[in-house]
Amino acid sequence: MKKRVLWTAIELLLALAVIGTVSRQVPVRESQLEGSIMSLAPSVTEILFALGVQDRLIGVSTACNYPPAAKHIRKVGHFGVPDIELLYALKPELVIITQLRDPEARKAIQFCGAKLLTVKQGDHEEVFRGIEVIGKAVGVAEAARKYADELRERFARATVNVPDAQRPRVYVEISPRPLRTAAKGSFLDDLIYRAGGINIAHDFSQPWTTISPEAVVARNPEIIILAYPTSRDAPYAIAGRIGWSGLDAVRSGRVVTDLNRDTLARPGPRLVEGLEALADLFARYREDKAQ
Amino acid sequence: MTPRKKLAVGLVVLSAALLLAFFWALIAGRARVPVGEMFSAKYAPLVKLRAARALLGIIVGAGLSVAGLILQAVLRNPLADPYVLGVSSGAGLGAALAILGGVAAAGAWVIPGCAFGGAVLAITLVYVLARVGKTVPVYTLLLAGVIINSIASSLLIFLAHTAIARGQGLYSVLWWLLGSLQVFEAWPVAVAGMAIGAGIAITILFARDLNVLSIGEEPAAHLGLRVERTKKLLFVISSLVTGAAVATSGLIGFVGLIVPHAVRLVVGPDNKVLVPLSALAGGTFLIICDIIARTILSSGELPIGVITAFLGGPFFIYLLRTHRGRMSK
Amino acid sequence: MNAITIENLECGYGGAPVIGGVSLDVPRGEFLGILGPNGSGKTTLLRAATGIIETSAGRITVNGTDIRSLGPRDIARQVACVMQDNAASVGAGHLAFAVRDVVTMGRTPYLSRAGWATSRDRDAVDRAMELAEVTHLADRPITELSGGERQRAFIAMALAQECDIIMLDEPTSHLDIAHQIGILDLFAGLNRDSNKTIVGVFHDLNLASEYCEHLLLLKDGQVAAVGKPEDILTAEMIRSIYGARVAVQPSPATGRPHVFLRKSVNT
Repeated sequence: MKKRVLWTAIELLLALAVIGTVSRQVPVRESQLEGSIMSLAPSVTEILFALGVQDRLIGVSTACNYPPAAKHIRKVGHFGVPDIELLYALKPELVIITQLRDPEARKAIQFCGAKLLTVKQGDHEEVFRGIEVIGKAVGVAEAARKYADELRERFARATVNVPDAQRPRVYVEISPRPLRTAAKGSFLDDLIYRAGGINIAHDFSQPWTTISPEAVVARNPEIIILAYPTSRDAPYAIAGRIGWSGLDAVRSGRVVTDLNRDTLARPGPRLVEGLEALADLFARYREDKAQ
Repeated sequence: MTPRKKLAVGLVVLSAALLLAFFWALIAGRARVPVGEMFSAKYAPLVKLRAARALLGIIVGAGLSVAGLILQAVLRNPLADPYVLGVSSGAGLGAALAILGGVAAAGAWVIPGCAFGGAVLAITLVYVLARVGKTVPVYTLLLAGVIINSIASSLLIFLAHTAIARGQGLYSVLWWLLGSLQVFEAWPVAVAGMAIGAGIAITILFARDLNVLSIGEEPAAHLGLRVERTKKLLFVISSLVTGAAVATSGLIGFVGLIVPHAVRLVVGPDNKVLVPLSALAGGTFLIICDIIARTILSSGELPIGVITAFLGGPFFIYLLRTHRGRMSK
Repeated sequence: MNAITIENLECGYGGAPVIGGVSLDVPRGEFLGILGPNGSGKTTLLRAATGIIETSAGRITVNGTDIRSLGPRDIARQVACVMQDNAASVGAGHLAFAVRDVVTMGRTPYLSRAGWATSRDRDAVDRAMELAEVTHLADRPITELSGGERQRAFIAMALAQECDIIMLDEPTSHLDIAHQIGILDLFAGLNRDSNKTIVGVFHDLNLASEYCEHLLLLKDGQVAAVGKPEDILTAEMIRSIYGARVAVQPSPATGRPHVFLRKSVNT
């Protein structure tokens, strides 16, 4: 009896291997397609679309979800990690990634003979500069510069200058379990300040940090933004948390769940939209307060 | 069938299976490689890459299988596995510290070296914790293993947490924790091959001792075995082999559990037959798992540790249920 | 030359010594029974005599040689041991060696690391299985045997060692009477026909009385008395060593002293 189970298991294993072997095979190209690009970061994909070179984009990562057309482009790996076999088969001329998450990824890309471009995206200015770098690499330097300048302008316009006393205390929740928020050194923290708010977790040491519920209660945010609401009832769930019902944000009903998280946390061109949305939100807060 | 004949037949059959699996690994993959053109300039680099990967799979698969076999024989416990003694976790911790400490850039040997160190540290701590006078009773050994495993795992989680907060290195740590046979250089494969090859060779020489230990430590001593010395030596071999495997390919679980039991089901408990055949079967098994890991998703790889856990988890539960009443002392 | 000589032996397991000052000569061809209450050190004495545990003082020689100068394999070629709980220690199913394989393990002191069993070894194994009457079980997994059968298998393993000296540690305690007699008859036969030296630890005083040439009484790690069964098994001796009240009468069948219980509760 046990032997039969063993043979069944072996057969199952072999079947899986066979299925994998024969399915979805991609023929190996003779040589690189001129101008072909692969993007392994969602922000890079957005930039490439914005620059109008999406026709040359022959592969994106599984995380690339914007614009919607990007979802139809062939997936060639995860965020920052290429699928070597697909790279070898499709032979892109240029592979663009953001910070190198996997040192093996560099070796993989070199192995396939592609040019590797790593774009730093530490803060918003680096994002805009990154657009220019990418633009130069794909041959649309002029258009990229114009686009970056537009974004810089929009960004500056949306930046709000108000005295600290008028800034709402803001808590952005990135994950509920454990409670995680953005602090100094992260985009989000910077956006919040530029949009006219104050991040209650600003003084924490790590850019993406956990925070205790007591700390949130102690700092009494006036606005709560749920970047990844777990359900439609999330605002009510927040109110239900022990000790949170007394928070200013809860009592005044300022628990926001409809801000697009990809605009808040993704270091791409839509950062500006994120800033504008936050500025809007905080402006409304100031209006309400003035009355 | 006498043991000798069983071994001979097994060697022929499993060697053939191994070669077939190796060949399969060369032609399987997302990029289509026509069999006839395998060695042409267009396909050769990719085929060489797949070959290196398959070779590492053989080495690691053989190593982990034999390491598990040693532990099952010495501890006389069918659930023994490099993970039980926390050896693999120790190795993983060493590697994670290297990655997150940023020292990995100092040289390509740093991560494997630290993993190795972690494995040896783990087995040393386990041994020191478990020792009672001059002997190492089975039950204290298992308990010590569980303790070291817990400590190493919580430290690993803490490190992963820190990595997330700092936004760095997490991906590497995660891939390390789940295992990957991807290699770009020849030397890690060579080093692992030498260490694991030597370990397996020594184990084959001690196969008879493994048999004798199975009837009990005291009866084994009465038969002329130097029990404590042999046990220590076998533990060291098992951890060095495990350390070499983890250092090169990360944490791949359950191989040391599944393969020895599967082979034992077919050829019986004689370790003189079991050791070499488990090595061959382990190598074949891991190659097949890697083929699945590489090709089953539409894009990207599944970490190979996921495949082995998928098979190993249910098998572990099954073992637990059938052996619950019959654990040896 | 004696089979075993023990001089002023002191040994234990780390704390206070279990055996404190035991001296003993076991001549060749002797059938010696070791008796004593629980905790008197009987098993420890056996373990020391086979070199399994370290001794803190004293000297043990086997066939004239100090065991400290002998390696474990050398000792194993001269002294075989059958423990009481061999049968119990075979547990998990993944250790299901066939009886023949277990008996072959008795040849370990003669087998080289890299080699396989030779025809000489196979003959020894066959002979041992015949003597222990387990030939018909040769291919059965040891985990499937009954307690009595398993003990016989381990006896066969000890016999395969082809030693002149055999130590037994309560080898029949958990077996039914037919098996007890059968196994001890086997050893009595070996003692008489092949002049093997047998040293056995017994709990059953009557069995010891029937089969042993001499008896040794241990109490608190020291030799309390040594002599023939008639001299050792007296009501006073048993009272002083074991603290139990008994009556001793010679067996109507053999004349050896037998111990009869005296209950303290009258029914």
